[in-house]
Amino acid sequence: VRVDRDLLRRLAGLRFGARGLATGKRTGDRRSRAKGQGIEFADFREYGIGDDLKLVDWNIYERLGTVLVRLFHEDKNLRIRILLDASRSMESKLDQAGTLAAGLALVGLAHRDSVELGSAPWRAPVAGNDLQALPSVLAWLEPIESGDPEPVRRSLLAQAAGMRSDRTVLVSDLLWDDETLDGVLQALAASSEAPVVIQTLGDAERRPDLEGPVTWVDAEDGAEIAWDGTTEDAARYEALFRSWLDEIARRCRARRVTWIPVFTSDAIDRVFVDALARAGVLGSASA
Amino acid sequence: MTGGLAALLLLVPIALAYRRLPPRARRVVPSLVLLRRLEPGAVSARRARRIEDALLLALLSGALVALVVGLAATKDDRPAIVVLDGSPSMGAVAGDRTRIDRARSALTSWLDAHPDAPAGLLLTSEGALAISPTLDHSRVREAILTAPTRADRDWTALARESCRDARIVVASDGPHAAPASCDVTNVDLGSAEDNGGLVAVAVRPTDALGGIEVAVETLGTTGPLTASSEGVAFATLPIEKNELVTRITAPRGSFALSLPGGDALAADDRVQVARTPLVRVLLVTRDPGGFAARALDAHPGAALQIVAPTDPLPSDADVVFVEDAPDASLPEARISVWLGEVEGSGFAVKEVARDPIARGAASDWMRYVDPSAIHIASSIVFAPGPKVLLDSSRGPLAVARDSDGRATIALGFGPRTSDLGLDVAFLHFVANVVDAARPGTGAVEGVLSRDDTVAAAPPPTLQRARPVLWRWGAGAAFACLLAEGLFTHLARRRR
Repeated sequence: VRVDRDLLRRLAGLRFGARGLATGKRTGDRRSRAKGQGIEFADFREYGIGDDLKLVDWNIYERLGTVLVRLFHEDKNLRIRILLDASRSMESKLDQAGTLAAGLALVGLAHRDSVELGSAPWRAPVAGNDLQALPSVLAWLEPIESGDPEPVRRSLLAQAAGMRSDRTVLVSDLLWDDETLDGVLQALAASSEAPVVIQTLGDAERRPDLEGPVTWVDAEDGAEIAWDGTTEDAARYEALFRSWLDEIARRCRARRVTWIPVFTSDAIDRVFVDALARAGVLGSASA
Repeated sequence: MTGGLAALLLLVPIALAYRRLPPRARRVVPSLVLLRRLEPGAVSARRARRIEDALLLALLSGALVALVVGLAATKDDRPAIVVLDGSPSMGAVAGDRTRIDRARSALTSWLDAHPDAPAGLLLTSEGALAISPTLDHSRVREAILTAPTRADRDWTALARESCRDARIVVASDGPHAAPASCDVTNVDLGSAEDNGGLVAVAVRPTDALGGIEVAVETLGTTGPLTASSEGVAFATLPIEKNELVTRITAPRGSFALSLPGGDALAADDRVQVARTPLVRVLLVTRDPGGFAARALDAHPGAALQIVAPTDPLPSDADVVFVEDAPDASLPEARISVWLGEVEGSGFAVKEVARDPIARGAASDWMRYVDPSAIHIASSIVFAPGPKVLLDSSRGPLAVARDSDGRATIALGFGPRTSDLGLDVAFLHFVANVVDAARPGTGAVEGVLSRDDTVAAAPPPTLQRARPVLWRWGAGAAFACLLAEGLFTHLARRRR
């Protein structure tokens, strides 16, 4: 993976969208279910031995004679998991996918979110909580190469179904059979408050060369198809491609998974600023 | 053979072309997920295509090999006996030449086409091979060119002898019964019109009294057809539109069907209709002019001998009818029939019945006989036990038994004691008995049995040529090419 480091600098102004409550362990700037030290009042409760007297609401005590302490919402960081599909079909899209993963990791780390990246089974996941972890994230990302699809998919499925996270982002071309796709989407939906799928697609999928006769060879499993069609089949393919994307969008919607299609021809910074922001995955840090 | 090998060399470029075609580039794509949807069922397409290619190559190769083998097989160097028909009809002019000139020309051409085949010569007018098989075709050719025109002999027997080690090549204009066991090639002597005459003859009996149906197909002649026996014509039959189907009554013995002598090919247009032998019938009766005697005498298949009961009896006969019991013992006949007189027949008598009403029992002896129509004034009733031919309320009126391949039939009544004689039933009964006694095969004089059919062989030009190997080869090649085209078409449609 070759990560566009210049791009990362331009992403500093972004942050993950404020969707749902944070469940991170560390103090952050996201509202969480936890109550404790904070600035936003949440509730009262009766005073207990050991409670900080500074939290006692003396006004209520004066009026009602009851000793109550004030509770505040505790701000936590987000728990973000980023999964990168490194199967062989991703080979031509791996740079873009890696840059997307690095950018998302940067956005998370910049806001002290807990970020974990996972990929193929031969790459142990890497995690970090602040920008100090960015070099190790990049060092983890850059050596990744595409490999056998089956282990990668099994690994992605296992990680998607792993510990619950606030955001899980899968970067993949989704060139899977329906059963695998449904399994991964189901795992994402079950393990994350706001699952996101960024589907990276290249020209090979969007506008393949249909001039035959040719033998198409599947880069993943070596399967072959003899093709005698011509470029006249392009319209048929385009309709098929559109319906395939529609079908994936429908499946994602059905599981409340945010689906964002990205093409290798798209400018990567616009993907962050426009596509991801429009989908609510990222927002402006100043907002 | 050289040509065949050269043709086989064609397989090399075809095989190479198939190995090279189609020139498919391999294009690696990230995944076939989408392309499989575009081309449903194409997962195994490439494997199927490989099989198709191999199959098509095999079919084309098969076609070529079949063709080459077939063409190569046209050269046949087996020894041959060349048969030249020198009968008088061969002297007739057909077209611009005589038929024998055509035959000579055809046979010499055949010899030229088979220079490596030892050839012998058989002239139909000779009793032996004119020339034994030899590679010196010049001798054979010379003998063919100088062969005289003479009356035919029966050359087929000699040909049959010769064809054990050789095939027969016949140049003849007339219908000839080619030996069935031989590999016979008929050389073409011209068009069918030139080769007129009898094409096919079929005869069959229409009744037991000598009635015969004759069916004749002719070509190039208007007839009439003459039926003759022992040189004496007994029927002249007009032929219209090359066909004749008619019924005639033929006398005993074999007879001939022939076209008139004026016809150019008449010498060969003659068919001898063989008939099976007569049945020797012995009638023992006091009344040689009675109905039984006259009915038996009328049967064309029976050679009748009438003897009185007191006369000495012949030692041998096929059928014995007993109207009056003889003093001497009966000869050993295949069938003995007792007509109203049963003493000595061996059947037990129960009683004599007046005006019994007969009813039938299934039996070949009583084929076409309707017992209910017979009025019987008086009949012997037999004791139960033997096979019943005619039954009545009083008991069996006719019985039969078989012993050592000999049949004994006893009727409790005869023509004298019933109106059997006035009824055609008795003639049917007599015909049934004579039919049953008829020897199977072997003779040429007699009657035409129900199963006999005599057919003349069609003229050579109308005979179906024996399918030669190269035709099979060409057929197989055509079939292979057809299958190849069909496969290609289907494969294209499937894609």
